[in-house]
Amino acid sequence: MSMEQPIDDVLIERYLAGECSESERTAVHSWLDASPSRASYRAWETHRLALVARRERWRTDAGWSALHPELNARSVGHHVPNAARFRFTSWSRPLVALAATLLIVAGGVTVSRTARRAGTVPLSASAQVASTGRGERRQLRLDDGSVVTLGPESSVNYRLQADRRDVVLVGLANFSVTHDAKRPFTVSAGDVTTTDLGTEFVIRAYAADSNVVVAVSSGRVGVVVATEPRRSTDLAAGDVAVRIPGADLAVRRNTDLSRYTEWVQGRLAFENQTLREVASELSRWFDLDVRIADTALASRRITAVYETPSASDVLDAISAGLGVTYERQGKVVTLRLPVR
Amino acid sequence: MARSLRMDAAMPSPTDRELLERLRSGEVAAFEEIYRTHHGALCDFAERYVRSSDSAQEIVHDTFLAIWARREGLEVQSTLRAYLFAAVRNRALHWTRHDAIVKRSAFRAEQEGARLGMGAAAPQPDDALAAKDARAAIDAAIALIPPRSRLAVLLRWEHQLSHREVAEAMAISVKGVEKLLAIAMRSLRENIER
Repeated sequence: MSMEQPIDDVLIERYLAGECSESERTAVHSWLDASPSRASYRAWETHRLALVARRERWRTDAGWSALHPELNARSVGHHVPNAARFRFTSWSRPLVALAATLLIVAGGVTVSRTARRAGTVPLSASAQVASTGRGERRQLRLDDGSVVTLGPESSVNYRLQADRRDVVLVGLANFSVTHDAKRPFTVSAGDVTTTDLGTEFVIRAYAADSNVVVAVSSGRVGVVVATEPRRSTDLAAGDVAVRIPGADLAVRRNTDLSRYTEWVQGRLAFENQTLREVASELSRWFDLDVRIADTALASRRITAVYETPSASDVLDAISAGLGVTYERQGKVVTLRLPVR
Repeated sequence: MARSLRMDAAMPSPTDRELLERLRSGEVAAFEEIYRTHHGALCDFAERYVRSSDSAQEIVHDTFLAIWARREGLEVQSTLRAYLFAAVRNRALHWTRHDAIVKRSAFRAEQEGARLGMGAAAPQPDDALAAKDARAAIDAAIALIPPRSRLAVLLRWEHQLSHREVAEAMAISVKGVEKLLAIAMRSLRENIER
């Protein structure tokens, strides 16, 4: 390549700040891979996302409730109703409400109303961050018109620029991307990079799972694994790619995606998943701690779709289906075999 | 001179400008939006100084209260975010200084960075090499970066501020930021790739 940039301190510094373009990032990664002593630079990227995800602990709502009464409230402006803020704490609130909302404030996401009125594309040079806690979902509309739906315990870090749109994801998200060939939309999750070619897709990359899943609902994407930066795998609608560390990218073509995409519509779907997996999903979605008392139960398998589920609906259905009982104390739910 | 250069090069974004205008006119909703957007990151930042989550929250709370009180005269050079980091830093320094007086131990502003642990609390040069875990290794290497450079690095790598924003947050020039980052990189590479 003619324009190849040398890997100097300035580039590494920008890499650590998460400011690199995708090609720069790829170049840095292959430089990092050339020597084991450089491996730790890579760890920073994931670490930063983990730090961002941990910000939930500061309980901003409570902080604001404490601050608000202290302001000498002779304010002139109007109060933004709560509906203008995306915060999903339960399944009962309909996702439909999302579409109607234009002003978005969600942990660092601000959509400029001025800019929209003027019909310009606001380009933020600095990165923005949005995240969800357990039991929470959130939908973000980016300045470019793309819509990101975040699953629970997830965070995205994104930067929209004139020539590219870069997103780093930890957790679960559905991306409905406004395609722009001149501004590629790239999502990095773990060591998997997905580039939109006009499309809607789900990426699941929880740190606890260690594998990364890319499921495409419409359009096409290109997927690149960091260890093989030159090989891009194209996925079309109905395709699922699973990256398990140390193994080749596994691609299934033309499959049923519901297991990966139902959540976007507010449903909860399991397809031949073990109770152990289901328990950890339920914990995530409903902010519970679902435990399995009998190890024999953990490997039982479940296939089901729950429409507008509540925690107790799903737990009732599962215990009826598997012939088990459950006991709930606060956030702790224990599943066990019935006493005979 | 550096100051005026910065003013030219870094105008607040349209969103910032709009929010600032609304804040100056006393609109609580605008203030709330700013608060909710930055609260978590600022608490993280304050905690680096005070090592106590209660004090960190108090510092951020007081900072926002002070900003509300002087909202009409608010001047932002690069971005609202950089302004907020600068304000929290000032308050946190004040806080630690006060804390130091209480404890009868000297505290000087130059030592600020020494308190800003980004990783292991008391790092040894060998930690970076010895650490088996890649995360621990970079943490240890960052902790070995000289104090003021480490503050710049914290703002850049953890909070993703631009050079201009770091300059405003640290009240130095962009050139100064670049120098601090160069020092940081030299130190980091020495301890990671050695």
